[in-house]
Amino acid sequence: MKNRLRVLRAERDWSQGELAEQLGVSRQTVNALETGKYDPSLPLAFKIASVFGQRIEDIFQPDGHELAASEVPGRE
Amino acid sequence: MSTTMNKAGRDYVVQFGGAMAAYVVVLIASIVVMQHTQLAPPIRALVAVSPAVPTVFALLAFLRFLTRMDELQRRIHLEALGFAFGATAILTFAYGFLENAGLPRLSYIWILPAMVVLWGVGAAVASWRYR
Repeated sequence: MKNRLRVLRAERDWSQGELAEQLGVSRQTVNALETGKYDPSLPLAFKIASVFGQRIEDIFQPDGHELAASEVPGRE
Repeated sequence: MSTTMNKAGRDYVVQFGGAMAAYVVVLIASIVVMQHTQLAPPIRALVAVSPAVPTVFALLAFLRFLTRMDELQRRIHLEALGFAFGATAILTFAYGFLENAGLPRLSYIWILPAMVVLWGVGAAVASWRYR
């Protein structure tokens, strides 16, 4: 899965530790999420979405998402 | 590390350390009693096994710590413990075969240190993979 965590965090000028604090996870976990090595559980994904004030699907995209979206008529 | 994790970590150190301190006290008392008294066999067995009781509290502290970790850390430790479980099984079986070939008999007491060391190795490797 791909995600925009690093960009969103940089926009808010938060360190990994600060984001970790807000999410109630370790800094190591934030790093693994950002590098895409670890996909969050649904509850953690909702928490991430709420911290950034966005929807889960605006932050996380499955691999090959762009291709899938372009194949659906009328969805641009 | 977030505050939540630090709190969980601190609680674990206190609870696990307390259980281990109690273990040392009970162990010494048990050895002293065994050496200086002539007890009936069933009582003697109870005194001999008594150091295992505080270790139950160490296990409870460890289980509490596992449930309070964040989800990635829990996954890392699942992988590490799974590795330690399997590798200890292989090691103990392999050494059992070697004993048949004449190597000295080792005490069961070495199984726990082997598990702990392999768990540490597994946790280091799993952590590195999620880096």
